[in-house]
Order: sequence, then structure tokens, then C-alpha cells
Amino acid sequence: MPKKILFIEDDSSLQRTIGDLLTSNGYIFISALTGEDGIRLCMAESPDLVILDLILPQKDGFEVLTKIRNTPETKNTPVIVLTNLEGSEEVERALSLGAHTYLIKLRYSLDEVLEKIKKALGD
Amino acid sequence: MLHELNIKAQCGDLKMPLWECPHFLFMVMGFIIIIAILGINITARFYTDPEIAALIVIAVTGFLLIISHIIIGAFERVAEASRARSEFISIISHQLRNPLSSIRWQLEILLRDPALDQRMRSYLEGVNEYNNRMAKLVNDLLTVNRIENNRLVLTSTQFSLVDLIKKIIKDNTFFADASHIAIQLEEKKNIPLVYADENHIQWAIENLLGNAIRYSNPRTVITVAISKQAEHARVDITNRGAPISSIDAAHIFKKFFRSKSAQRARSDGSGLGLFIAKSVVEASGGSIGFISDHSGLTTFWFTLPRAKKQMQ
Repeated sequence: MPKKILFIEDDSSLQRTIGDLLTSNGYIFISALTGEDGIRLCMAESPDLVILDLILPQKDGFEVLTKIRNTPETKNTPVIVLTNLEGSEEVERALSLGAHTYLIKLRYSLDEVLEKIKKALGD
Repeated sequence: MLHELNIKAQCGDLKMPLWECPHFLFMVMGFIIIIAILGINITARFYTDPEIAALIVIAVTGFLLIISHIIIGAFERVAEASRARSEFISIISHQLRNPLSSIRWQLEILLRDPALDQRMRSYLEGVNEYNNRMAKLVNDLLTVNRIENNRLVLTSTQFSLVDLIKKIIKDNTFFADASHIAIQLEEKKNIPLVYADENHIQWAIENLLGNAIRYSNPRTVITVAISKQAEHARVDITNRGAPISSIDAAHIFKKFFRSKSAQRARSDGSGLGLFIAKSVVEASGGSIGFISDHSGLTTFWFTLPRAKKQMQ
């Protein structure tokens, strides 16, 4: 049974890129463009992993992460934060809210991102 | 030393006119204090009336207060300019990061396509190379900005320096091959795990090895030696290229510094890599330095603290 990954990111071109990467590696890919939609999809689809950007319209990534952690059905779902924000406050806040991994987009190649995803899924 | 005494040049560096520049105002205040002390001394001989002496002292104190107020204002302007500059770098770099990362990943996907013809591939590889160079510069600028604002956050864990270096050498083989340079790893037995921020140390080593490749003579060998010390693990990266002059040696770890021989050898390079490497290694409790002889053999070395508990 292929694993399902939800990507919450407001840049549609980046969504397509990560979507290509994940589907070609045998994952089921679902995506949301806003924090609000992301939470809704997460509750409806119970993905195995969530990849989350922090700067999002409507609800930002921190709110989404808090909601995921506070919902019994999704509280154990691993969340990888994938962002270009690198301030100490953001990193510490995301990790204390229960993010599994914090990745800076521009510091990693796609292969490295895939490696981190596999690690978070225990593959 | 001479530069520190040249107040006009220092105010020029701050891009401030003399009457707004703290260095100049401090000197003026110093002169006024000296003149005031001498003045009080002399006038006290002629006017023994304590009321007049007190009035003179009050007048001089008032004058010094006004000058101090102007100096504080000048310092605030210097601090404000520095804050504005660092916010500017931060905003610009963040806005650049999103498109740069999208371009990088989309190129990676395109370059994986086996149907790509050779001409297309070589153009795309060129674009990829330029994009990676921009990405590195933006990342480096942000790291420097954080170091300067004391906001560099290190998340230390214990990890294998040997594994990390093997990975970095593997990633750089293509780059080294292109310059006809071989990289040789010399690994002593039982190298201990180290305790540091693995990601930041990886960027530091990539900078050191990248420099070694860029500034090596063609068809030479770079050796990367890993050894252990009582409290630390040590890495020595040795290459053969132009020697580093003693004048350049004093500035080589400074931000934006590029030596004359480095500028002659390569037009690219931001002068940020060694500054970042030094800041990261020292913040991790290690030390860093280099040895360069006249024949052009140069070794950049650094140490990192050993992990307390051994898991190996």
C-alpha cells in the first residue's frame, strides 16, 4: 500500500516539482495551497506524512502545525517543515510545536529532501 | 594601528560627516575636558571666590552634557544604519531564496530526463551551475548576517566526521575532476565522534574543500587528513597552489576579504567562506588556522570537540 503525503505550500510551481518527485518514487501525493485547506485535507485524508511551508495565506504554518498536533487522529503524523525561513525563533518554535524535521529549501537538493522524507516515514 | 588614529578615514568608512561622527566627537570632548581642567586650575588662582569656581564648573559640565548628547545621537544613527542594512540583506535574501530553490529543484528534475539531448543538457547544466552559485551566495550572506547579529543557532549532536567528509568528497569529485585535481583521504584509525552542528560544519568543510579545489594548480592532489587529539578530532586539508603572503595571512578570515593571489586565480568568490568557517568552528568549541609555505603548499586545518559518550 503506497504511502500518502500531503504537501501544504502556496507556490503551485513548487507543488508540481515536489509532486513529480514523490509520485515518481511511488508515493500518493495530495496538496493544498492554503493553511485552511491543508488542515481540512489533513483531517479528511489522514496522510502518513505532512510537508509544510510556514508562510501560507489564511492560516500560517505554525497554526496548521498546532492544529495537527492538537487533533487526536493526526497528533502522531510526522510533519516536515520545508521553508526558506531560517531565523532561530522560527526553527525553535516549529520544533517545540512538534515538527519532525526542519528543512531550509535552498540548502537541500531534491535527493536530500527525498532522503529526509523516507527517514521521517521510516522507509 | 595608523588607521585607528586616522579619525577622518574612520568617519569616511562610516560615511558620516565629521561633526556627526562619534570618533571625532569623542576627540572634541577629550580636548574640552583637558582644556576645562587646565582652565579651572588657572582661573582658580585668580578667582578664589568659590561661587565663581562653582559657576565655571557648572558651565563646563553643561557644555560636556550637550556634547555627550550629540555623541549618543551619532551612535544611534550608526546603529540604525547597521540595523537597516542587516534587515535589507535579510529581506532581499529571503525574497531571492524562494525562486532560487524552485529553479534548482525544477532543473534537477529536468536534468534527470534521459530523453534530453546533449546540447540541451549542457545548457541546462550551465544554468544549474550559475543558479547554485547564486544560491550559495544568498545562503552565505544570510549566515554572515546571523553571525553578525549574534543569531547563529547551532544544534549540536554527535556525528562521525569521517562519514561527513567522505560524503563531501564524493559530492565534490565531479568539480575536482573538471579541474584535473584528485582528492585523497587519509584517515587514521579510531577517529572519535565529534559534538557539533553537523549541517553548519558541513558548510564549513564544503567552503574549505571548495577553496582547496579552486586555488589548486591543475594536475595536483589535495589531501584531506583526519586525526585525533586528546580532546578533539582534527582535519587538515592540504593543496598546492599560489602561496599565501604574510600580508594576506592577517586578513584571510575577515569578511569579504579576497587576497590578491586569489583574485588573480579566480574572478568569482565572495570572500565569505573562510569567515563563516571560522565563526562556525569556533562557536562549536573548535579552532581553525592555516599554514602556507613558499613552495605553495597550503594546509587549512580545524579541530572539533570529541563527543563525550562514545557510541562507536
